[in-house]
Amino acid sequence: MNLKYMAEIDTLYIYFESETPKIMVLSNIDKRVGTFVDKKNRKIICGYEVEGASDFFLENINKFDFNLKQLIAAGIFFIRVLNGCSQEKMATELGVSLSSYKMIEKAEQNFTLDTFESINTKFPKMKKIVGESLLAS
Amino acid sequence: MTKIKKLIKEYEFNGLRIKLYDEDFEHALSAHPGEVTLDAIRNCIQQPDLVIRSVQGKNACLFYEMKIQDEYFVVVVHVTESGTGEIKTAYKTTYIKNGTVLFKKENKK
Repeated sequence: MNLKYMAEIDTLYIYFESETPKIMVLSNIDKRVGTFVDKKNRKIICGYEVEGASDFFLENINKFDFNLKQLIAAGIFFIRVLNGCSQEKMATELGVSLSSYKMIEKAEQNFTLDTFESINTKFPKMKKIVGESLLAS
Repeated sequence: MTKIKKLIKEYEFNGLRIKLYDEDFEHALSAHPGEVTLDAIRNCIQQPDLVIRSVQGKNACLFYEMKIQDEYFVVVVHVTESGTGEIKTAYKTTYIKNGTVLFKKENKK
């Protein structure tokens, strides 16, 4: 998973790992969101573009087609960039190595219960997001 | 340490100077390999079919070039307060977003 926030235009780009050609289609999430799909099989979601992300994304994150790891990756990434924090600082806050933290933001990290608890404790917003996601599933 | 962006290309459209930096080109390239090229970006910026100011994306102008029916190549440009443009990304899309039309090419065959 690759995440990039362009603060100058308040737009967030989210890409799942995929080498296939993509094309943006209208999203049913909101008019601020464009969905990147596989050009040959448009049922496969490859990512999202979120305009006006600072006011919209975290409040509506559970509307996106994320699994739990992706949800945490996208949520923790966006909380970090909105607060102007470095990955180093976030790793220290969570008590994990920098490489582990980077893997969390790529949705490649399996969480220990300690890390999961640390995320929930240090970032109450994430606790709410994950809680809502689990309730909905 | 903050990485200093390197200017790759500079274009001009209707008096607006539009710059492309390595970091933004690499982002577009890695997300859309094989579709985003310097030639595609140049063609779209210099000969767009439509340019709109996005309603939702702050200070963003979208340059559209129609490829085939219902398929457009779009370049996202951040227009700074100093009146220059900076290309942020590019991709293919099936639709044109809502916004203020700044330019529309006429007689497109």
